[in-house]
Amino acid sequence: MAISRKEIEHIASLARLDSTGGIFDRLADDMQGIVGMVDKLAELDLGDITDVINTERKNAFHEDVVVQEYTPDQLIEPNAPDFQAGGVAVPRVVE
Amino acid sequence: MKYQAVIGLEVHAELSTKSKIYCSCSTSFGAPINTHTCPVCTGMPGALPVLNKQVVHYAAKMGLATGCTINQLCKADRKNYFYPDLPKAYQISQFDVPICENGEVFFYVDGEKKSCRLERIHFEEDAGKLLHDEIDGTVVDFNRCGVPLIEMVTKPDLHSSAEAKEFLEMIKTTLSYLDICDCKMEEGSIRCDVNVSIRPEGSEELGTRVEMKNINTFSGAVRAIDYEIARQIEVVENGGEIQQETRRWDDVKLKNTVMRTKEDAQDYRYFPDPDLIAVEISDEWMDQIKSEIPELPITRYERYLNEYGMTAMEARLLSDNFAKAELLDAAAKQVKPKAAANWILSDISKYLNDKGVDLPDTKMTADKLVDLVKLIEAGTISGAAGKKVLPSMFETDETVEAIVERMGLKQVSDEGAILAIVQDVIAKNEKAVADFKAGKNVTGFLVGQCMKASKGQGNPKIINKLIAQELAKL
Repeated sequence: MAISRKEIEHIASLARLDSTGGIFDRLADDMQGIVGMVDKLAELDLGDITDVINTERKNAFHEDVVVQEYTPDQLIEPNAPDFQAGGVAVPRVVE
Repeated sequence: MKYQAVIGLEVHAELSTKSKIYCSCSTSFGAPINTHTCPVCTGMPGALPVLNKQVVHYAAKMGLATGCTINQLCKADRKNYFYPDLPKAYQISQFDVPICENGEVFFYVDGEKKSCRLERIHFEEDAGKLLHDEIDGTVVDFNRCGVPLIEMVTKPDLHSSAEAKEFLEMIKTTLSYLDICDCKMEEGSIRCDVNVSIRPEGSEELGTRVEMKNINTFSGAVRAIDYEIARQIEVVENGGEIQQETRRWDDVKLKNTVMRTKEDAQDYRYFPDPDLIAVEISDEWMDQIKSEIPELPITRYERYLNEYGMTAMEARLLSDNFAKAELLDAAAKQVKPKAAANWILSDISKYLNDKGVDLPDTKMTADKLVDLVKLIEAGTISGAAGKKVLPSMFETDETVEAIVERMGLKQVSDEGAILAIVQDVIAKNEKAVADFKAGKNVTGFLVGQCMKASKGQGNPKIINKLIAQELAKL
């Protein structure tokens, strides 16, 4: 399956990425490679396997008990590019 | 041309677990910004989610209560999209194998029983909250990230805002009966998206649908639906065509505006979450969940109508509130349902409203209510005295008899003692006697005087009888 420029532009806009300029050609090559690999998977003969759920392992749960180990200055502040008013500051978002 | 509206809903309810769906952070509402966070719910690289067992339990419970088939083997999938309130850039949800499918919810609209099919119920995580007033940009609060939700998706079976409202009310009542959601609308515990289309009446074809988001109250849903139906009719009547799009409802300006058109439609690229393994609900677990489901609101409503002989309004008010319905049914085993219902609908409800508390938070019990009704029926206390006893029934562990005794509210039904009071009152009220002889009705006045003289403890029936008897002698 070939990827069209239009599809890449659509995905880029959903991902809020700028798809103008030279980056398009690189993206097109990368994505073609990824899609090609998935196409290759489709060639596998899966015989009569119809399960959509892997049941080799199941039911790993946590009990409904609260454990609070982090404070915002330990967890959020060191990891946020811009930390203000106790949280991650981002450009104004109004959809 | 006449049109029929076709409406489908997507209802999100926050489950009332203590901890989040994939980590152990607290779900409690209103905490300081980002204090209920950890590497899992903030999407730190390498952090691994582990499913909260209670979420599975609650979601399956709602499914069973709405007649769904439970997929005892199900899984979690990733729904990918970019938004600042979603730190992983995907939401862990369920895609092709939701925990519950093919249910049906019954409800009444103006006395007519209707139903709406449920396509599915799945569990998923909530996103964070964007705060716009704190700084010049936007601040992200991750506290709500990972709070468990169930999403209930209906078939397009609803045809008016009134039907949608009654459906939503029934969902809310059912959630509260099952005790799996706190149903606090003001905290966003139940939210819904609405899909609306119109078609010529009699047509079976579905029209192009418009999705509306940002609906936070049931009354808001009614306004949003009515607005959208009118808007679509106007577009079609003017020769236009309905565009498939998502519109944002503004409940202040009472109108909606385009949010996304079909071209911008999200491509969520769902795939099974490789961080999570399959969920299997054993038959034993299913039995356990089933055993926890009480008699449901609609069944109670119908029973109150048919067995207790209540009006639709009474049956609705009582069956809407699980604790009140439980109180009524327990009391109705020993006293007339109507007598217990009257107390619950009037003075008990008034007390709860005035104090802003819920029945289970008080010391009221069915046994106490039964005792109260019996004491009044036996004439031991008056109805008015019963009202005075009530606050102590809510607030203390005393028996009703002990409260009556302590407050000195026992009614005097001894005819000899009352006769003395009646005779004394008649002797002291010459004017009333004169009025009586002049043909005026003075009974009410004299009863009042006797009640006063007996400090409210005289049995009014006996007082009435004796006054009539004594006046006749004049």
